[in-house]
Amino acid sequence: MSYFSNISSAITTLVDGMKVTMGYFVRPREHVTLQYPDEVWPIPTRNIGVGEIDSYNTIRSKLHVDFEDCIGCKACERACPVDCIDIETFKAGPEEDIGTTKNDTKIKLRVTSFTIDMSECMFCDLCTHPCPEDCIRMTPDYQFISNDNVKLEVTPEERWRDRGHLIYQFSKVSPIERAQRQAEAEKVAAAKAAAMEAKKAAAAKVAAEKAAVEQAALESAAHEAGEAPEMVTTPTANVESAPEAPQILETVVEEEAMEKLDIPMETITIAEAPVENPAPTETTAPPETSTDTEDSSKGETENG
Amino acid sequence: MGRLHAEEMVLNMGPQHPSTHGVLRLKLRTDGEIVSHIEPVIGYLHRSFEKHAENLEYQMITPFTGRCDYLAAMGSEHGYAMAVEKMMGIELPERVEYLRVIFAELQRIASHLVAVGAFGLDVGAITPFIYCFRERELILDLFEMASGARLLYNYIWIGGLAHDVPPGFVEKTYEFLDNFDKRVAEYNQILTGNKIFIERAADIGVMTPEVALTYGVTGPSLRGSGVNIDIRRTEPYSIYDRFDFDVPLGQGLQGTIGDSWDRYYVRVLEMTESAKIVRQALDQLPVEGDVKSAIPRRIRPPKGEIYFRSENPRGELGYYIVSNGKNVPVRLKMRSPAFSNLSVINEIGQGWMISDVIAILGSLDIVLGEIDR
Amino acid sequence: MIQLLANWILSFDILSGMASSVAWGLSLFIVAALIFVFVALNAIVLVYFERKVSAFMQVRLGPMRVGKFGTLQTVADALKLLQKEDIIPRMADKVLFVVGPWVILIASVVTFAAIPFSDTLLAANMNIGLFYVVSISSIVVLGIVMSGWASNNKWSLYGAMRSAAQIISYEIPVGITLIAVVAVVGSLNLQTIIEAQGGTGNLFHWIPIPLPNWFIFHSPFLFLAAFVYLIGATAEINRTPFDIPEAESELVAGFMTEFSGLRWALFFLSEYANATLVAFLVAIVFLGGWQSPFADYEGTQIGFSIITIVALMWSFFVRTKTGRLSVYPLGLSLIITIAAWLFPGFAIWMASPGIFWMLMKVGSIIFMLMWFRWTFPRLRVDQLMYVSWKVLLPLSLINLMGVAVWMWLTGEIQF
Repeated sequence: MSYFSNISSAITTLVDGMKVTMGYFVRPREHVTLQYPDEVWPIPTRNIGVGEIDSYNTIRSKLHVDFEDCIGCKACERACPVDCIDIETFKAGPEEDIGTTKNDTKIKLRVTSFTIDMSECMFCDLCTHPCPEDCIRMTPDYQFISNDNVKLEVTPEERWRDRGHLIYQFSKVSPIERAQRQAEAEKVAAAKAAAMEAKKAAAAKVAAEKAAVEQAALESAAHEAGEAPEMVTTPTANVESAPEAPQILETVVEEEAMEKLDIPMETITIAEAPVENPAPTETTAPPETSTDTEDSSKGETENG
Repeated sequence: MGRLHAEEMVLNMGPQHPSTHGVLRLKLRTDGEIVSHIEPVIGYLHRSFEKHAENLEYQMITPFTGRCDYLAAMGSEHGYAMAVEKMMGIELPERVEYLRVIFAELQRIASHLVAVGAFGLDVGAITPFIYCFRERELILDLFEMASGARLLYNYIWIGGLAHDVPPGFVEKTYEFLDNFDKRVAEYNQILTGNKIFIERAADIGVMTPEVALTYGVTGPSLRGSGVNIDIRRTEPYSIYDRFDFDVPLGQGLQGTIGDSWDRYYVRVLEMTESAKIVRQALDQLPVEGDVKSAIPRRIRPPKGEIYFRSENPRGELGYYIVSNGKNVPVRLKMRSPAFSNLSVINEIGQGWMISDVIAILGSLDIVLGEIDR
Repeated sequence: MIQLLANWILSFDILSGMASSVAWGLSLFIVAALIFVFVALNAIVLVYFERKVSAFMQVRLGPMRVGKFGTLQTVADALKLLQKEDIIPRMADKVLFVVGPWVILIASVVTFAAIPFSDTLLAANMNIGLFYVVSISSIVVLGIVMSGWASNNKWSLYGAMRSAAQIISYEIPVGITLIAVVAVVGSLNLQTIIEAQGGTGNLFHWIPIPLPNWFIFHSPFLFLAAFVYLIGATAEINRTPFDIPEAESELVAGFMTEFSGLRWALFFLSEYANATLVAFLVAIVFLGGWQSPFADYEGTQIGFSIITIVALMWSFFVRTKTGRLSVYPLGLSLIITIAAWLFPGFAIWMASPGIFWMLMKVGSIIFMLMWFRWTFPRLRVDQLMYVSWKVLLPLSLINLMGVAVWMWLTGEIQF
């Protein structure tokens, strides 16, 4: 008997299923296909109250940076999990006026290169939140196709470097200015290094004289004892490490001070730190704005 | 004359195959059509998530958790966020808890839609797969509205959410829920009750509760065998104890308890239960509340370790985190449910034909991203 | 028909000097070429038809870009396949690899010689037409096994073996069902079978609903036989729910896996040729072939009016849960009804037999085959065998005996 009930249940359930597909067949207007690019699914827009742009923070696609508002704090670079943001900054001279952001913050660093490698970016949106000036955001421009400026003959080196036009450069600083600043920085660094060398040489000379005096004393003593003189090695390591120790201490002290201030994440002001002349002897690092969790070693900024 | 001795053939369902859900390699030893031994070979999608997490700060790990189980990313992020919050002792505002439950349950519906559709595809029914994905598109639209991304969200942060939901989200979710029950009835009409489908899935790959518990199977695959273990009930986390929902169990309606049809049907029923939970959460959603108020400025859990488990659409998703006070974990281990679910395939797949092995694999609902991490 | 064509060729003054045997030979080639052309065009149309039907059933659109509404899509696909590299696996049996697809195609195409497209369009009026068709179409098994073996691939071999078992076991219920029809007609000639279905009569001989005299309405046994034959034929042509040999999610493409480019196009062509053949047989044997369902032009008008009224009622009173019904079927039937009432010539043409009705019936059977494919999951091999030997075979035997009893009861035969 189950044989017949099997057959009858088979027929009824199969016919049931056929009714569903037939129902959809006679309603071709209900199709869910969109004929892209003639028909496009609307992107959800929403205004979450930050910034005056309605489409801020809708879908997460290409990154965009308003360069005029960037202060070079590198908070986005530190927040990126895949290290796809690369920022190069140089300190502005004391008499230079780079400008202010839309939130009336004075810009103190010249950002000569701000590249984001979109081929590495994983569109996680972690970089947009720490920005104190709201200048980096993800735009809803999801099309990576480009019909213009497509170079068809590229060398493998170019393709690797350029990642198929996927390395976005947001800095508006001209290459000439960038080269200038780099040259300046190198000169300053060279001068500093020369000064360090001079100091080391002076200290070495002093130590050598001292050693020579000691040597003479030893020699005279050794002459009496009949032993060969030994070279006293000057402890040069101490001289070099001494200036660095205060540097580390200062940043740690600065961080703890920041913690005690208990500044919330959204509104961060740049701590007013004594900006000194880039003299070669002083090696204090003016504290860059540490907005949040930055213990990892990514916080080293370039000193001008 | 003795028995005719036939050679055993080794058949390789290679990493590229339309039916293994991802890059899974199954080495089958078959005698004609009957399979005598199955050996799954995994590792083709290994991306060293756990090692990578040892170099990332806690808030940076959140997008990577979603990429492990890419079909249920909200669930993975939710489990991870709750693990770290428990370590740090963070108290969440009510609105955050309700929104998280809404997203986790919507993600459960979306993941089960893929499981149901893909199971139909494995046994040859191509149309229900498309219908399931049509509903999934609606859920993905909701997620896109809230977080900006369709598949990998980075939305459930440690201590809250990335942004609040936009206006219009609640109405759209209600609209989705109103249409959803009709669709589930449609799936039942075209696939669940279909005699051919029942022939392909019922009494196939029976998993007894003892076998399931021995191998560490969790989730709908376990409940399909009649074992009533659901972490949302046994160890309630978040605010799941405030909602009224049933935990569907396999009852052997079309065959024996614990066959593939039961595992499949448990998923279908769980979809309606999740829809119930979402509706209750939307009704009780507090309008006031800042979703970012509890996010700590620096995430440095105190020294110690924690193992936190949550109910992923596939089973028990566990996070074991060891911290030594820094902002980078010392060790992060993810206990993936699909890994344990896959391990049982040799036990329940022996003695069936090749087509049945594919059906059993489909009923276990594995995601290789989670297995290989 | 070959004779007619030969006569027509000889009727030209220029060619009147030709020997009649030469004319006959020439017309033979022309008819054979026409059959090939029909099969090829048929495949092109059916591929497009299948993609659109499957798309509409799956709430999507199907091809829309190539040509208006995607009509030239198949042409684009054919051109793409033609320019692909011809890969022969290294250890494959080269002769069988090359010959296999051709055997399948030739077996399918040659059967069309006996199929009547209308009362005059028939290539070879054979007295054993039905027997010829069924036996030649069985050679397809040979081609499948050759292709599967020659691929040197375990998966292809599996697919070929399964297919051979499936086709051979479904030959039997199919054959017995057709014999039931032959018992009613008394002849294996396909043209005679169609001519026996002319005129109108009652449903199942006694229920007074005026229906055309098609064999499907002849008796409940032949009604059942039609469905048994349809299911068996679905298995013969390896379509879901019986497409284990080409199970996409299990064996990639079964016995067709290793074939690429033109050879794969041949497989595809033969699959659709087989499907068309099966649909033709159903239409000829059960649905009256080229006979029109309306006896005369008044019948046409009344018949179409009834159809339009039913469609109207359907669209108003029978609402489905999600959305409204499409107005295209209703609009089409309304237009035809109005034309039938306004233009009696049109009604007369609709009432007359011919290739139009044949193609309509064949098209609807093919639509049913596609409907099956996109709704049902796949049967496993042993379940397939179960259906054939334990369900269809007893049913077909019962059919045969039942038809004999029925014919005795209605007085068509006397003992």
